[in-house]
Amino acid sequence: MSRVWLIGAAVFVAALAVAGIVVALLTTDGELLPEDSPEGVLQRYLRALEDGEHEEAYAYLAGDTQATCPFLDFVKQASYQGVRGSQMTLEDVDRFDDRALVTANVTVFDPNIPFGPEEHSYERTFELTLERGGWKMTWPEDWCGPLY
Amino acid sequence: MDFVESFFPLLVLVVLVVALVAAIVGWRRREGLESEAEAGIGRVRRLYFYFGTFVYMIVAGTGAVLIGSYVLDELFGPTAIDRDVTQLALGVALALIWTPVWLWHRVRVERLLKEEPAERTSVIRKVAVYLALGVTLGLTVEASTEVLRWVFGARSFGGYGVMALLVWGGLWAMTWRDESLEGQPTDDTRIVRRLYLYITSGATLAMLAGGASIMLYVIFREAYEGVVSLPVLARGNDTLWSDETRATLAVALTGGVVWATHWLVFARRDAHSDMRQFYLYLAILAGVVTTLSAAGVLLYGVLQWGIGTPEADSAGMHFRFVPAALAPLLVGLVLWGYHWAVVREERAAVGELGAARRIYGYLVTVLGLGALIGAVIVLVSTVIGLAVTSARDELVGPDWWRDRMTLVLTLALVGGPLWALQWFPLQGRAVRAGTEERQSLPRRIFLYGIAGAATLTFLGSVSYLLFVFLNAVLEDKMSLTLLRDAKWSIGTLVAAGLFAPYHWLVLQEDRKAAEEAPPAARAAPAKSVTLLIAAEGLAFVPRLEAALGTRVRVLDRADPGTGVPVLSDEDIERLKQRIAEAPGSQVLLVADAAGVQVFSYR
Repeated sequence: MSRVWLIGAAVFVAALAVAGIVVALLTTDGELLPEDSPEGVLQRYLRALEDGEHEEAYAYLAGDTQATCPFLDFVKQASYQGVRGSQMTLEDVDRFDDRALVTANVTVFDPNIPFGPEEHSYERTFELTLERGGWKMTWPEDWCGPLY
Repeated sequence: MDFVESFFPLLVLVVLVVALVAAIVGWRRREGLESEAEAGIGRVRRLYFYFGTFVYMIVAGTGAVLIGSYVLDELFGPTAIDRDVTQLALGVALALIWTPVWLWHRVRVERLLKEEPAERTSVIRKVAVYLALGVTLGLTVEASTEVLRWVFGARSFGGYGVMALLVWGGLWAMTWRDESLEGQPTDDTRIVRRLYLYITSGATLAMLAGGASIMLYVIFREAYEGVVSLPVLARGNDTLWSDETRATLAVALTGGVVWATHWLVFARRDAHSDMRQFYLYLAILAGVVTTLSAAGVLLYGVLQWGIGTPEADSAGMHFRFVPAALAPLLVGLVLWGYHWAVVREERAAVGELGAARRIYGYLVTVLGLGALIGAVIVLVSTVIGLAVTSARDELVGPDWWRDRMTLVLTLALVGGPLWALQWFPLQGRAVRAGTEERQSLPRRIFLYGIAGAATLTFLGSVSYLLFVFLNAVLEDKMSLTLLRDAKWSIGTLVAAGLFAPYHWLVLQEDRKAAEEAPPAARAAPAKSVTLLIAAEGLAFVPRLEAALGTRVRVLDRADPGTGVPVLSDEDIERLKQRIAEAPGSQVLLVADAAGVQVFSYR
């Protein structure tokens, strides 16, 4: 009886693994959100950072923010504040005329072999402003970096 | 005041050891394993003289080290603008007062030993002797490491290391020589010696293995950076012959020398000892854990490069972890292979202790099972994460699941074979050996432990999930976030749900096999046997213990003229049968010239 259970458990786990991979391949295609939405701009900004395209990412900053945050300072900070290894999903978008707050859920995973994996999640809110008809990332004046 | 406080740790250690020894001796006397009227100088006097002599020796030795290190620093050390003479004053005070006290006690103990030869069999004496050996050896090892660091140029000359090496090394050698001449006449005194030998061997083997691992890492890292041409802008102190490397070499060399003398020389003729077999399997287990942990890191790194999401863009940068994983992998393999070879060699020569082998087998099974359980938990949580994420927009990291599946694959590839290669042979042995294997304590602890822990985890996870669900319903906050937060608990629940029933079923099979086995094959429940016998009949005890396969508590009969039984091997077999058939779980044997009467009680 124990052997039957063992075989059943092995089949169940194998099926779960196959199903998981199929779902992953079918659903995580990296589809982009609308470019004229705050969340769409944030998504493109984060993906540019992830790909190391700092000039493209910098172009998503608002004019006021760029004025207080020179490009090279931004790149230096980007090397410390990478987004690689993090997963961010969209939680909420609040629009207030020409301002918007986008909330993302960030999940960081560490395999931590051999002591067991660790995962922690937290929420991060991004502020965007409408500038010449397009949404731009904006930080407080005293901040210069890719993430606030 | 500082001086007095500095001796607190030593005093606490001595008090703890004395209390432990007194408790063990008291328990042994209650169990009848040690005679109340033990020949020798008496328990309290013995405790005072042996442990007092040890303390006086350590304090006197500390004084000598302080004086000697001050003198050596003055003669050969770096020039000091203002040398602190407090150390010299303290050293002279300690040496002047405590050395004569130590020498007087030492002479007194030697005289007692001549007057009372039975002292050689005293466990308390041996504990004090081997405690002195252990402490002086520990201080010698520390001093030796300091001296080697100076020899290798990792530090300036320090008189402390040289003097401590001379004083503590000399005291260790003197104590070891005396103990070797005296010998260990009884099983109990040999157990104390073995404890010292195997604890020392284990500790110094850890020093050797740890040091070798770090040395190999430094060499491999240099080679790797050279082979893949990694641009290193600043080395700092991170070179092949840095101070840290030299200090590590000093630790490894010291550990290696002490390990070689204790394991290869002093313990070489101890192959028939049970404690040695436990030590060997513990060392094998350490090798297995080190090897598999390092192999897991390597495998994960390779798989991550193939199917995961590595942070580095180039292979050279990504595989920088290889030297740090390869070094412990090699050291673990050597530990595993060497000790396994010793076990095989000694098994062929003197046989094998089934209990040690069995415990090792079930411990390795637990390790493999742990990795498999981890794989299931990560797999389930990842699948749930995928389901939740598919309903949400992803801002960044669409391939987040790849590293998790890489971890699942790594844990399965490491844990699966490890578990299967141990568990199925154990199951096969359970079928072949029948009730002896199925009812063995390690197997029962393993099965009940796994089944119990899995059941508790299952119930705990169900309770947590129900609480989270009810809380969300009552607060009207039902959403996919709930599932995301609970995915690790659900993973744990599924893993427990898979493994708990399996181990319960194996337990049921064991129970059923025991019920179906013929009565002769069933393991008789162990009974506590007490023997009331006159002192002249003690020679009967080892025969009875050999027949029963267990220790017998002996009560010294004070009634005069009772005599002792004369029993043949057949008589002892019949006695064994009567003990087995006695209804109570505890048996009292009353022996006299007429024979042995059996009384049982609960």
